[in-house]
Amino acid sequence: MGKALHLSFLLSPVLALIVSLCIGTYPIPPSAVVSMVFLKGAQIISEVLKTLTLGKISFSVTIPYPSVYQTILFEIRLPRVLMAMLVGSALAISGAVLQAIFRNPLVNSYILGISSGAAFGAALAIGLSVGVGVTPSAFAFALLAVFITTSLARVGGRITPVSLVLAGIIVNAFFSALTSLLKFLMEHDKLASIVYWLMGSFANSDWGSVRVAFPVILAGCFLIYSMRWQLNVLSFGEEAKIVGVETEKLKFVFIVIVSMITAVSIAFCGIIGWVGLMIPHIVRMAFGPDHKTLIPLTITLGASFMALADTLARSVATYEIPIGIITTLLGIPFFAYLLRKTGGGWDA
Amino acid sequence: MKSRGKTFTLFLVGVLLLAVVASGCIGGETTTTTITASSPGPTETASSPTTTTAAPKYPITVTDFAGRTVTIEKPPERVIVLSGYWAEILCVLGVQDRIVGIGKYVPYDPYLPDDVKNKTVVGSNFKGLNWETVVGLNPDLIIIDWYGGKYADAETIQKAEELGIPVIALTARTIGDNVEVVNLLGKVFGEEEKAGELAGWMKEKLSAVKETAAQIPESERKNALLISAPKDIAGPVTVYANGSAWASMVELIGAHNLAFDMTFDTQWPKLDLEKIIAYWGNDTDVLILTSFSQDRLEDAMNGIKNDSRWQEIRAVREGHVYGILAGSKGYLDWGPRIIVGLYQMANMVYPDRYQNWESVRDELIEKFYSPFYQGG
Repeated sequence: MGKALHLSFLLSPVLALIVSLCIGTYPIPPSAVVSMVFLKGAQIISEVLKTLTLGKISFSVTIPYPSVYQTILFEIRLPRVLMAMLVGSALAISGAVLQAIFRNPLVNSYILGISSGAAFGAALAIGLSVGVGVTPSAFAFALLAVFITTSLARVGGRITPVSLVLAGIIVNAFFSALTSLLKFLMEHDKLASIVYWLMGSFANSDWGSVRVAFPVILAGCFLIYSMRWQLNVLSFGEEAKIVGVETEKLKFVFIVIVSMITAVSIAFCGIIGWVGLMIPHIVRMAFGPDHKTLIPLTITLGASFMALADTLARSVATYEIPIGIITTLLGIPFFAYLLRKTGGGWDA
Repeated sequence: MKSRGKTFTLFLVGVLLLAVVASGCIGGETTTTTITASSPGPTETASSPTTTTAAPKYPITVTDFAGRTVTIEKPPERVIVLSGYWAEILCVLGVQDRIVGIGKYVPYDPYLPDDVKNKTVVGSNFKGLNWETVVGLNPDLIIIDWYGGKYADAETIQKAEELGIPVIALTARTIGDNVEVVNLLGKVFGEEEKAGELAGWMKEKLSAVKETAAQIPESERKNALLISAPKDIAGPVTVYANGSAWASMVELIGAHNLAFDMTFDTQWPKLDLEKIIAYWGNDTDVLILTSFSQDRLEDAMNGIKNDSRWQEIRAVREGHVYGILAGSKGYLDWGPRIIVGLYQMANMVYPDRYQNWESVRDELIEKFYSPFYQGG
């Protein structure tokens, strides 16, 4: 039972990818979707072979479907689904890491001030119409916010869970006030676009955004995965120090990684709540707090959850439903069920 | 979910109407006439204002576009006008020297004379007014935009009524509404003759468009889509759908607005590219982009023409992508200039059928704007 669930969590992104690619406003039969994906794969392999062998070996693959199918599937749906998966895993793993290093089950990446910093950066870029795009500006201010939070929280050379949460509240309040001021001063059409951005959406994902987000988030997830043992050590708290682990340095490294991947996610897709809190808790309640299993499963479950949630957001109605509403509504019942059944699983 | 949104909107409208009735604002004999310049496609249920008394002498009673009955005791002498396009009408009526206060964006309207642009700024339609400044100006009329209470419009009306300052709320859900605004303002200021000339010219130009449109054979009726030039061409795109005055212009010139074939929860639905391709990809003969910024318009046009995804829209594939500038720098705007905008759009879609839009613009400027418009 446990093993089967473990395996299904681990393999869920594959299924989520296929399901998400098959569903959309433009009707494409699922059989066409699947065969097009395989043919496209073959096409890419042939291209790679051709380049590697300097054109000596090549085979031609033609995709026998209308061009509109290919445009919809490969240019519109696929980058969007990939973006959702990347951001889903980034937000989920960030939550898991921060909960471990601060030994606080209520922490997620937003508590570091990332979201309010990013929101301010985006509002600044939209409001002032400066040459800098929304994404770089949101990213820069997200990092600035994290920097201020951690500097404020560092009391006597160390960051305690309480000082971090308090510093986060200060920074969040500061940037929220600045954003409100900007919103007040902004013209109404710009106000509309900042409000829309703040709600969070994958609607403007394309290959350009995947190209930036993919290496950053993949590298972040890989680094965290390779350091999952250290997370176990860190979650012992003070005992880790006694056995000679440099906890402060380690915490700092983790915060930097988490800030990078969250900031990239927010910069492209706005603020999507709940995933960072919910996914790690679900995995923890199902499999216990060992980061050896927690980290990989958080990555895969976060990816598949977000892909499916976004599929609902874009295909249920003629208009787009804000993704944050879907993540919350879908996640809450399952989360509540697990909470009743396991009592939280935090101290298990 | 969609129908629930509609029910909710209906409910809100009902509540609003009830509130207006309950506050005793509506007189017994408010009449409603259908707008003469209605287009064939969209529903024209908008409240159209008519005067309840035909007497030219003050006091007069008018019904504004929020459905309120307003009594004007004497010719307004100290007026606050929040929008440039309505201020242009006041200039045509020759009453611009009565303007004492303006809205935040009025100074950006290039058609207005400097003495209007330099008046005290009191706030905006969207975020409300600075009431200390307003009271300091001692106005006897405030002219605002009516957005159905969506922004600060309802608050502004309420506050002004508390202070005993008459408010006229204006809006344009159709092109015809703009003609009605001219007549209404003419009545309020006792300048019916001048208003009648402008309104008459606008109506004449409108009926010329309608006549030409009626002659377009069914086989040449083009399917068009009017969208807002997106900042990010990959991202969601705002489509002008049923209920938008600009969207109804597409029907007016004899083309078919494809967005009218579907129902949305708003007149400005934001749709992702897949939805636009799925709904209208193969049917679109003409794609018209609009923006308040010339740069944004050009960027989006170039982006769309060179983007592989947009090639799935037939109009893009066949090279029928056009841009029309909105706002006070262009002609797609409320007020008299919308007539020029209509011809501009008509020229794009049916280049050989309509009077050249530049000559319409010259006519408007020569006949009505030349006394105050300083060129540029």
